[in-house]
Amino acid sequence: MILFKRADKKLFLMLFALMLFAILPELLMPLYKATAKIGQDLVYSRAPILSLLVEHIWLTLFSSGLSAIFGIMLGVLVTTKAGEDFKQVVTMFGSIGQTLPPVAVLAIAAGFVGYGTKPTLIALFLYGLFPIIAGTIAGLNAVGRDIILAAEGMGMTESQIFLKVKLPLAAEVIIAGVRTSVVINIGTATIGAAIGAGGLGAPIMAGLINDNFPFIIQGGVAVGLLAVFTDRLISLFEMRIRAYRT
Amino acid sequence: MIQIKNLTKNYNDYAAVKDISLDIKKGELCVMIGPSGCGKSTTLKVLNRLETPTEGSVFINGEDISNIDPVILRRGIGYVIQNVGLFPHMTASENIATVPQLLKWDKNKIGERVEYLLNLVGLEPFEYSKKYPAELSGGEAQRVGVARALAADPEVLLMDEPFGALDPITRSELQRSLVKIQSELKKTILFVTHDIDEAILLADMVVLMKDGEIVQSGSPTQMLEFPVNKFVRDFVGTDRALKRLSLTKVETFCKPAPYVSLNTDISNAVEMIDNGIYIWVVDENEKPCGWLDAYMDEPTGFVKDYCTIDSFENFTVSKKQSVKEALNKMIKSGVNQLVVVDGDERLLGEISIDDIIQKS
Amino acid sequence: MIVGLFMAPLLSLKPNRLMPGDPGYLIDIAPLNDILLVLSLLVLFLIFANLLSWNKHLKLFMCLILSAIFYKIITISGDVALVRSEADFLARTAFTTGFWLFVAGYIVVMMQAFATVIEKKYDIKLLIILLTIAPVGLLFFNGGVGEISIFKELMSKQDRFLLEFKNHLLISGSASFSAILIGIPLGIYSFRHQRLSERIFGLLNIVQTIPSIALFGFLIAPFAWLASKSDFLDSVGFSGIGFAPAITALILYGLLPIVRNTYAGISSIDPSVVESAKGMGMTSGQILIKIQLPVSMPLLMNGIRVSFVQCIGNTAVAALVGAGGFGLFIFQGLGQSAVDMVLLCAIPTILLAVFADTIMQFIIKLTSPKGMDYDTD
Ligand SMILES: Nc1ncnc2c1ncn2[C@@H]1O[C@H](COP(=O)(O)OP(=O)(O)O)[C@@H](O)[C@H]1O
Ligand SMILES: [Mg+2]
Repeated sequence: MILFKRADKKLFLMLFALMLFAILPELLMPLYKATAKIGQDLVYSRAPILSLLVEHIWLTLFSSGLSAIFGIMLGVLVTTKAGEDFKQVVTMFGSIGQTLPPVAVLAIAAGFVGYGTKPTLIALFLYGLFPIIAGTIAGLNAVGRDIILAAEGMGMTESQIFLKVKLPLAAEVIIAGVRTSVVINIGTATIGAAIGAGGLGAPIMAGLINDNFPFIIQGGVAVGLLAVFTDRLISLFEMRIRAYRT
Repeated sequence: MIQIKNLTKNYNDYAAVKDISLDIKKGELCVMIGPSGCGKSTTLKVLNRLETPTEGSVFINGEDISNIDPVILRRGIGYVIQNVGLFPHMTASENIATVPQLLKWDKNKIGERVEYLLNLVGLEPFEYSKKYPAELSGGEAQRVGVARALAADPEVLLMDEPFGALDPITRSELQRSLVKIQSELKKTILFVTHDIDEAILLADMVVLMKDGEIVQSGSPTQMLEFPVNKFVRDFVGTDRALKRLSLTKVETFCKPAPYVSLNTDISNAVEMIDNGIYIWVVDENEKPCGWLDAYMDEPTGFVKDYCTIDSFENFTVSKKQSVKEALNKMIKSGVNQLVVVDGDERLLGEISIDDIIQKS
Repeated sequence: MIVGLFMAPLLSLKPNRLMPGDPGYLIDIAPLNDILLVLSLLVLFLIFANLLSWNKHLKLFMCLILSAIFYKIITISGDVALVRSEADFLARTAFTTGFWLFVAGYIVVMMQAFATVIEKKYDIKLLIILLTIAPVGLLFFNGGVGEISIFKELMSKQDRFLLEFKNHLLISGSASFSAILIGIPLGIYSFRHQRLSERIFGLLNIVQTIPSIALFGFLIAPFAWLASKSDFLDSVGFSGIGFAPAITALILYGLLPIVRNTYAGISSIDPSVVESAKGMGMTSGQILIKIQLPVSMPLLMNGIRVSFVQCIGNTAVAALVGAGGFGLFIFQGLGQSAVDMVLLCAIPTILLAVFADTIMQFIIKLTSPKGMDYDTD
């Protein structure tokens, strides 16, 4: 329990730092002054960091939420008797999908759908699908034969076995898949700025193009904090599930 | 051969081994026994310098082991542990060849040695040499473990509960193999177990430990006959008398018995029945083959016409077998006496349940 | 797939390289007998697929039919492109939604066929792979295909394409190689110093979590500063942008999977194995070389696989800090809205990653010690 409390405190601190920085990016002014070239803007002014953060969170949450719904459904489907035929191909799909470079997926989506939020969402959704599918299948597969046999022996129906035995046991691995997916999507959404998706990638991209280091820091620090915070948050959730189970 | 002098080993403040001293003679199998956590493994690990003593010293062949490079020392000592620890990526042969390779033996010599050892531990080389540990049963794996420990022909063998993880049948098979191997090789062995039957079966000397100290040491018979205190009594169990029987040989209770040959005239034979009940019958090689009952109506002819010939292995014991085995046989066959034979299976005498009960 | 073929435009008929084009449906652009051919092949395919549902022997036959359809579609497109560019040399004919939908379906069906082949039948698996890529190979024998926009793009940028291809390989190769050189010892070190290992993993985990583009960006200023302070570094081309920060960030990224898997591999070894090795008189170096590393090889190699494949993808992002590679074209193309240019490099990047993954899987199989069936996932 002490472990959780400490982790919670760290998490809270991180959230606080993220919010503070998003509202007041001027906090790091000395760093900006030290790294900026003469005559450059010190603070990204096209949009406040806070609204970019909100945009970024929305992008990831929306796409990852969809990926989670579809990914888990697909993973569950192929591990049932009805979907058995497609298990191999979907597993293969999941593992090959994870090797695809996110930039390439994003670029191809932009090539078809055009620029802006829409292709980014599509790419994030597709790309986020793979780790979740892989995690769901792996998690459900890992549930031991004898456990299921025991459940059958107790007279549970197929759906009861799924809801009361398989799903709770696989939950940890499934959530781990979701975590991977969300963290990757936060990163990919950042690159989405290159196709005009907005979000925290915008100041970084602007900084890279105009050689303006303060902009890079503003976007980078915010997105870095967001990613690390989200990763920790979901890990904590995983740990809770594990602790609850044992 | 091995002398342990005032050995103490502390982990932080906890004394795992307290001031123990022990002498093990060359060619002797010393079994160290005691409840778990009493410091047996720790003592063993001090001997091959996997642990460093807090106080005291150990001499092997008169040399203080703290003066020997641990790596060199260990290559000269065989080490067998409960979990075997075979290298999973190497075949049985490769596992066995490990130390000889470290010692840079000649390739052919290693090959011959591996084959010899596989045979020694009862594994057919052709079948087993190419197998990986994952393909071996628990018993087979530990046989390979023993062969691996013997690979470089070390004088000393340390065995830490080597058969502890095996099922009873496999365990007794391996115990018998070990007895056979030891009678051939005469190594100096320090063997750790917490199984008293195993200790009695294998030991030349037993060392009973408790809480890091030696409670009693001596031959198995001494331990059974003269337990020094209640702890030892409890540890060896209430069936001490029975256990002792497993240490006593049949010949101790063997007394001469009259017998007749198959071709003796029946009337002469009847006269020879001095106990009034039966007489043993032997064939032309003096091998017991049946008995003759005293109650017959007007017998004529030869013994072989009247002799009761049964599956006679159930009624004979060898003089080298233990009294416990003889008792087992009597109970199984439902008789009060068995005929005792010598090494050539010739009749030597008989052993009876009354004598065992009276004399022991 | 079928929807893609008939309902969506197959080709985009553009007046020039950058202007949007008119949709060209298969029905409109192809000669009648070609349409009939494709249609009858499709019907044949559907009959087989539905009635005989993946019967073993017909699987290959079906792949062949599909492969033929794919080939036919490409050649039809090639012919159209040829005719159009002969009429107007500025005109561009590009693959579009219909074509790519078909390709996506094509890959899925082929993968399904591949996935249902029994594990050991390598010859059949190879045959399916060959059938899948054969149509693309056959393209080189068709004159018209060169007139399709994406290939035209390739022709016109051939030298740069090859150069960036080389750059991409060079950057991800050297970064991965360095990550291996640092990662394996670091993994061994963390195993031996359990206390420190937590910190090492905490740090590497944070590095992995930070979006790549931010990490690249962060490194620019320190590197520029270093270069400005040291004439030597400056003189060897070390600067805030380019190879140096890119490779550094890529190495940092690549470390975690390698360190983690090295650590996990060594930890997974039964302690009794190491104890008996030690008891037999192996030095700690011998234990590492002869026991710990070989036994953990499958896990370790899998870490290298993940690291390498990930590195190929991240190298594309590295173009943003001026490191070159396929990413350069991708971002340039995105900037100019030149779809063909983007695809020209995005597709090879994907192929490179998938190819590297396959090769590594193969190497893992080769280097896994016999006698152990490890699940590397
Ligand atoms: N490395 C160690 N650190 C601390 N305590 C230990 C260590 N190894 C053994 N002990 C303790 O020393 C005692 C004796 O252990 P051991 O020799 O393994 O007993 P056993 O007789 O069962 O083989 C036990 O109480 C054990 O907890
Ligand atoms: Mg022990």
